[in-house]
Amino acid sequence: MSARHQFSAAAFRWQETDGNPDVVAGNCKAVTNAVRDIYAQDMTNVIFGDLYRRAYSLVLHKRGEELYSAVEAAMASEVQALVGSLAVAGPSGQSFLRELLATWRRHTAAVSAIRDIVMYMDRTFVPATGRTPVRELGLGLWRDGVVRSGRIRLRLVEAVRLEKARQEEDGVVGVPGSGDLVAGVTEMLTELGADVCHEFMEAPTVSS
Amino acid sequence: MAAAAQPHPLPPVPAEGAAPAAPPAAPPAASRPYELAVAAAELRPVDCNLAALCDHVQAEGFGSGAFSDVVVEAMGATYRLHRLIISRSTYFRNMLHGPWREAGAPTVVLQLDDSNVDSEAIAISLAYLYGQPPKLNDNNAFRVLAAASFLDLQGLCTICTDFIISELWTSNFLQYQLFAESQDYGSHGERVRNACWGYLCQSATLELREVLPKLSSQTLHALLTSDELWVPNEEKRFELALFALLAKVTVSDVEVSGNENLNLMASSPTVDPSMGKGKSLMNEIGEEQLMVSELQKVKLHDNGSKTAQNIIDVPSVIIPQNSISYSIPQNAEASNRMENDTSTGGPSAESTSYQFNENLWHSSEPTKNYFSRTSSSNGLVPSEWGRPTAPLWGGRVVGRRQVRCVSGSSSLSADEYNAFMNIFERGSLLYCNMSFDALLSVRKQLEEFEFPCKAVNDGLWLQMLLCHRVQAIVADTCRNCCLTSNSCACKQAYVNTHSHYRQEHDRTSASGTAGSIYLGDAQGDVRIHNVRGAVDGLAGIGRGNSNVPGAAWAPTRYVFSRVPYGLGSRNGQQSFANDEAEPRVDHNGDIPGDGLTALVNLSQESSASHHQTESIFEAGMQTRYSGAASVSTPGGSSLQMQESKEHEPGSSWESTDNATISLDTRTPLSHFPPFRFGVEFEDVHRLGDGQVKHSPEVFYAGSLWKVSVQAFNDEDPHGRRTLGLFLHRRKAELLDPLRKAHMYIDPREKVTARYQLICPSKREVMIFGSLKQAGTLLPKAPKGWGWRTAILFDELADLLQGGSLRVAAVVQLV
Repeated sequence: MSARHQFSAAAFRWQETDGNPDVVAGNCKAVTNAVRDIYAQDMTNVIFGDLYRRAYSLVLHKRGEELYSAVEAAMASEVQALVGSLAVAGPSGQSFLRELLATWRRHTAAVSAIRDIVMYMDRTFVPATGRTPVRELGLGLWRDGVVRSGRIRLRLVEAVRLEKARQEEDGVVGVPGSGDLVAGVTEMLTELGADVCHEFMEAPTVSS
Repeated sequence: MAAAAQPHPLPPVPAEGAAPAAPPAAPPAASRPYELAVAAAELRPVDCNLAALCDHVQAEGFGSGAFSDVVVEAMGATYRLHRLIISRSTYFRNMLHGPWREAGAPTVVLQLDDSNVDSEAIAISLAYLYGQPPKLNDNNAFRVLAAASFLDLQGLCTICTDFIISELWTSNFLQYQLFAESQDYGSHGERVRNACWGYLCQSATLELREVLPKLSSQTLHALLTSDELWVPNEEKRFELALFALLAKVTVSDVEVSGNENLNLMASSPTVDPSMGKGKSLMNEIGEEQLMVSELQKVKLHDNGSKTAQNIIDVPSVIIPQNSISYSIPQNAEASNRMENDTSTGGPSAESTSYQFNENLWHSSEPTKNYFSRTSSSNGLVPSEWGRPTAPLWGGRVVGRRQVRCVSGSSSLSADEYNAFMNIFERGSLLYCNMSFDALLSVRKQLEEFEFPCKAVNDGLWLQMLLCHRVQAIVADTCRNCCLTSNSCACKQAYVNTHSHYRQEHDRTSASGTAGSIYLGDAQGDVRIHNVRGAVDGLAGIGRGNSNVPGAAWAPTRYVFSRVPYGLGSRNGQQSFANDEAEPRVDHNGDIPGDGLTALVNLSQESSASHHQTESIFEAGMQTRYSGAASVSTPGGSSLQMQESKEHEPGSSWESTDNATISLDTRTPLSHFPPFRFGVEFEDVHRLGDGQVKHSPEVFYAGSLWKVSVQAFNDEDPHGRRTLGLFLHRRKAELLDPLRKAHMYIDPREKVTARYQLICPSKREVMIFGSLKQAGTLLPKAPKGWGWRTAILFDELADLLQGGSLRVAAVVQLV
């Protein structure tokens, strides 16, 4: 029995454990396509079992590096696209805040879905190589790519200031939803990090 | 009556147990307080309920698929399961909860790309979700681990890993090693890998020896390089590496030729098991035989070349003996072995076919240029003196040798070749800790494979320098306080005489004859420069049977540019062929600094035979400067110069990789490579309290070293029995008067050293001490220094291999 063991182990070594480059590329492509579809909220072609298997197989065969950079790049480009859509969104004030929060929720849902797909990467490859976990990666992209990006930052500060001012004008009974907006923004900023929240919430009060 | 007395204290117990009317099968513990017993009794119905639920879920749910709300298809099997239960697995929970298409689907197909997973493994994993404990064995444990890893069942993964580690033996080692190495199973794979590594470090020298050639070159490299590898001494480490190399060459041949057969085996798993077994066994045996014959061939080679070398290379043998007064117990053993070989086996046909090809080395080109340059340059260019000296000793080349060329057309992959190049040539093997006899044999064997042997040559010089340095420190150390003269407040008379003495000698050296490259100077030190690519240093000392002309040798890193004294005054006109070994041995280790005599002799030889070697020098230089020229040797093999240039750096222990290494007599000891040895203690688990076991002693840097273990029962705060690990050092003694020349003595009572004691095992690799620390002043001779609570007796069972504890020691004098 032991002889057979050794033998099967030897046969096992000849297997191309690195994975066929075509297969690797195909798996990466499938995952990046899924990232795109998830952000687009088009789930017709997104099959969890298939994607999880592909991502798992990549990491299992030590292609975590490829997968990680593919996912990272895909997410970054999707976030960039979101920024573009926000930039053209309503002029300012409430509509902007609503648009921003809706986009934010879309983003977090997408990140969470992506995280589910690449869970094995998050569990093995990420800690082993000291990378940023996918969730933190998503937060970082949103923080640096959206909230802190030049135009949106200014518009956000302005919108929040306007909202607050309006709340004060209207007294306790505010326009339905407006208080939720500020609360939502605060929540988002808190999730991005305590310092980020300070950065935005302190600044307007000081200036005003 | 005792029997009558016994029941008396007992009555309260049954009474207590009977009160809650619990099932009779579980009588409570007698010592338990009443309240606890009641609490337990109240819990018991809940336990029963849980057990009943578990049974129900297992039997009704998993067993018969009652009320199933999801069907899982995997590997051809269909399971009628329940969303609630299978969502214990993160994989299923994410799948059934997320925004996915299959979230609400009645059927889920489990897709897997992992060849380790089979349907049994999936069944076990799914049953685990329903509370069934996995039934693991040697064949399915890793498969279940793979399936559980995919389904993200961390608990099951841990169970499998624990099982694998506890059942890791020589028979299945390779299977698990490859399993953990070739795929990434995260932290669980890491655990298996670590266990394999520890087991490998512990047993590679003996039990797992046959496995070595089947390891990946990365693992093999890491292993043979590692301090954690338990191996008795550096010679044995070399033997192990050579064995691996030979076996690897053979195995790859077999693989190339026998691929078809093996593939057939692989693709037909339905073959009758016994037949398959027989077949593969035969295959194994065939490999062994091949390997053995290969080894024999090389051994025979050695014999042949040994005799040849005895005749021709006498000067080369003499020189370092002069200065390396060095001997360790294994030393004698090694030489004994060599003698045995010579007596049993005769030289093989190939090995005797030396061609004396003197003409090759004679050159019509004038050599005056070289002489004038070196004699006037006052040590600035003298690095040239040490170019390949092989031609000096007969100038012969070996022709028509049927040696496997490692670098050329061999069956080794580039990866493997690099691994072995690293092992043999880039500081992985600490040649300087080998005996001289062993070094000669090592070099011969490496030359068979056309390794440049540069590291071996460096080893000789490091050895010599270490001896020199130790003696210098000894001379500089106060005998009272064991501190060097700088920090010692005692009298310094000894030191003064010593330096005076050396100055005297320096004077004499100035009058040296023979136009040697060495120029004495009043400082009386030896400086070694790192010579990168430009010059062959001392390569070729004692070189006997080189089959590569000098030009192909890789440059040595060290070149002695100055030598203090004794230049030619003693043996000035000696010709290189002189074989009077004995007269030169007369001045050995007793006089500090005398180890350098070897250099002197050598320089005379090189100067005496410049006429012969000059042309080779020039040729060699040109080749080297031109870079990647391929030098083809008379033996028909070729060696890429590019290769030899690559492994110049990395000699220094302290990873001064790109800086110029300047080793001289003032180089701190901490810049020398440490000394490694391995010891084994049998039956340590039977040690009584306070009992001690000592290992045999080994020689290093003028001292004898050993490790001891001692059992304690009063060291652990929790009262557990512990096993202490200690390092002992005492000054060397001349054990054998005949071998006096090989030994030098560090007579200090105490020395400062840093050291590590390492216990590799599949449980973990326990490391005590650090080589990064400043150093410990070791206590006087009979005492040891170490860790009294190093190992708990409870955990010994996991640490022993065949009942014995293996400890690898790394020591560095500082």
